[in-house]
Parts: sequence; C-alpha cells; structure tokens
Amino acid sequence: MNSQRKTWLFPAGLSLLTAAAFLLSIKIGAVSVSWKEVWAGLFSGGQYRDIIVHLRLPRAILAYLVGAALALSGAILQGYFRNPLADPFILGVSSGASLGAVLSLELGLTWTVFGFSSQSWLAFLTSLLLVASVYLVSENRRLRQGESLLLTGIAAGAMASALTSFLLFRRADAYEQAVFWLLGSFSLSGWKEVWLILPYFLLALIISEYFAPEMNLLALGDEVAQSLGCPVRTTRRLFLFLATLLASFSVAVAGIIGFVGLIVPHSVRLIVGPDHRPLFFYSALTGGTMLVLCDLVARTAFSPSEIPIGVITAALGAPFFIYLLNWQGQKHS
Amino acid sequence: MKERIKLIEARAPQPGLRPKVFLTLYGQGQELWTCGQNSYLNYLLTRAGLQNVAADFKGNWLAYNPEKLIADNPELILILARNREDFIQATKWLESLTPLRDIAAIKHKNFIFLDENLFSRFGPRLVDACEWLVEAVYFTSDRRSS
Repeated sequence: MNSQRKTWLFPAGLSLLTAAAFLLSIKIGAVSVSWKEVWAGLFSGGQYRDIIVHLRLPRAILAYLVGAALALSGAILQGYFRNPLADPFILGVSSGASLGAVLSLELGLTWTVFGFSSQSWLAFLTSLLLVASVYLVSENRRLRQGESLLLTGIAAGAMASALTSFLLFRRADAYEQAVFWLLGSFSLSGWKEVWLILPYFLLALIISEYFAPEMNLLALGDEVAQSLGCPVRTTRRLFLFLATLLASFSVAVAGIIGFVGLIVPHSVRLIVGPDHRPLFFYSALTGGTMLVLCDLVARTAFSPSEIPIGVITAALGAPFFIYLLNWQGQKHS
Repeated sequence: MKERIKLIEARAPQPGLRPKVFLTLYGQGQELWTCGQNSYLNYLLTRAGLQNVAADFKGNWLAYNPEKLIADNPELILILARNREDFIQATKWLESLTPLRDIAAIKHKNFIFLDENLFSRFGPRLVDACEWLVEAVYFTSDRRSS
C-alpha cells in the first residue's frame, strides 16, 4: 500500500515543483513584473519582452539542463564506482576545466566559437582529455579497474591543480578573471547556450536510459555481470564517456557547480530505489528543478548583485541532504 | 587645481539634464561589473555631471543585474579597460548579447573607452581623468573611437 502510494506521489510532486520553479523564475527578478505583464511578454511582446523571453526564460531552461546533466552524471558515476560518494568531478573534470580556463588566459586567447569563449572551449577539451588519459593509464593496471581509475583520477586532478596554481602564480593579474570564471554563473546566458547543449543532454539521457539494465548488472560486480552476459568493458567505457561529457559541458557553460551531482542522485535513490532506469530519469529531472530553484535564490537574494550559484547549491543542499539521511535512518529503525 | 574642478563643474550639464550612464569593467568573466554608490568612480561620474544608473546601490564594486540594466536604459556606456583592443572586444561582446540589444547606448553604439591606468590610480591625475571624461562625453561626436 505504502509503496504503491509512493509511485505516483513522487512524480506528481516533482512535476508541480518543476512547474512552480519555472513560473517563479520568469516572474521574479530584480525588475518587478506583474503576472499580466509576464503573460504579455511571453506571447505578445510589450515592454518586458526582452527581460522575460531573452533573459529569464533561457536562463531558467539552461539552469535546468545543467542541473539535470550534473545529476545524471553523478547518478552514472555512483553506479559505475558502486560508491555513493562519487560525483561528476571525481575523475578530475573540474581540475581539468580549471586548467583549461587558466591556460586560455595564459595564452591570451580571445576568440569565440558558437557564442562560447575560448575559456569555455579549452575547459571543455582539457577536462575530456584529462579523463581520457586517466582512463588509458589506468586500463593496463592489475588493480581492480574501478579503484585504479579512481586513484589515477585523483592523482591527475592534483597534477592539473598544481599546474593551474603555477600558471596563476606566474600571472597574478589573470587570477581574478579565472576565479570569476570558475565560480560560475548563468548571468547573461541565452538561447544559443540552450540550443547547443540540449541535443547532447537528450542523447546522453536516452542512451543511459537504454543501457540502464546493464548498469544494474554491473552493480552485482564485474565478474557476475560478465557471466550474466553483460559486455562489461564496453558498457563501462560508454558510461564513463557519457558522465564525463555531461560534466564537461556543464562546467563549460556554467562553471563549477558542486553538490548537485552528489546529493540529487543519492536522494532520488532513497525515494525510487536502486533500479538505474528510474534512478537516471528522476535524478535528471530532480537535478534540473533543484538548480532552477537555486539559481532563483542566487539572483534574487542579494539583488541587484548576484551571488555564485555554487554557494547556494551547497548552502541549501547540504542541510536538506542531512535531513534526508536522518529521515531515512529513522524509517528503517 | 580647485579652479580646474570648478571649470569641470561649469561645463557639466544641470541636474535634470544629466545623461544616464553605465560604467562597466571589462574582463571579469560573464558579468556586468559596475561601481556602486560608495565608489570613487561614482563620485567622479557625479562630478562630471553624469548620472550613474548603479548609484542607488551601496557598495563599491558589484556585478550588476542585466534586468536592471534593461530597465535603466542608459544612454551611454563607459568601459573601463586596460587598452583599446580590450575596449573593442568589450563593445563587441556587449553588442552580441541579444537581451541587451534595445538599450539605447548599445543600439546607438554609444561607448566610451576609459583607460584603466588613468581612471583607477588615486592622485592628482583623477582631475585629468575628470576633465578628459567631460571632454569625451559632451564635446566629442564620434563616441566609439573616442
């Protein structure tokens, strides 16, 4: 009875919350706009059209996509490593991205491709490159693959961070720029970012949903999975690639936003259970909604100035997460 | 020097006729950094007879909300940059932002280059900066290349 009630309660609650998050995001902002003017701005123009259609709406959608991508990436990696502490940045994506951003400043690159700065592109490419080399190095080890990958990832991340610090140390004037870039923000992001990452996100979601049963087998251990007919190596490679791609483009678009990729999949697992198909799906939807709400707080709490969204995700996410863990503990005792 | 300041004030327009300006700092990521009420740059702008749109906000430097900027609709954007190349980059960047396209300053390409070296070092040269600003704002027609 109880479990049946839950099956529709969570999707229904989440849909309502998502709808509310989007409505509030286009209604609330530094400039106050009435519901009537919001309606006019969306459908017929009027004085607030640019604010509603070209500022608030694409920003909310982009926050949703980035939150969904980070949460999905975290869900994949937690399954991959069979470890609830895994998050999108565990293999050095964030250190790789930082290195790329600083490298772009060091080289004085100022070009823009598809509306993205050289910093974003270099951050994206270096993080992909870093994880790829971590994978290649760790593949030949005799250690269990997951552990070897994790340790190599941590070492490579430390190396990238050291290099970043060295470059920043040499050029003090670039420091501020790099810090602002890394803190991340959705300020002034528009439709072009949305259209650029939407297809990759959807593709990654569909592929991971399709191969979710294989991930369930991997949860039993590589040997068992292999004996049950799961192509372990290929599956692992695919999921690692998807998780890295999702994390890298999120960083390239919005900087390093912590905590979403860790707590959302974890919280969702407490609600929908360990099956990876619903887990991937609901992690993505919940991560999206959570980031839309966090972004709303980030841009309105200290209006007209904005605070970095990473501050909000951690400040609001952590207490909620602890509450959820306690609640779960009480239910079992 | 006091006479020079008086002269600046005489050349600046009367309150009510003061142009609305937005001052921004280029090269700090994807944000519109500006100077608030307590900054000396705000003081400098006021002395030059300009109305800083961010003057209502306490503090020194702040990342300005683009929505507010659209609502403020400044006639002139002052860009604090290290050199002219950075300034040109900044104008291109501002013009590329779809949501800001209807702001008067951007629509009419009213941008003025402020040399960071002259404008952000304290000292007697700030009077030079102020004179230079009055000259650039009120007495130069080709804004983009000023």
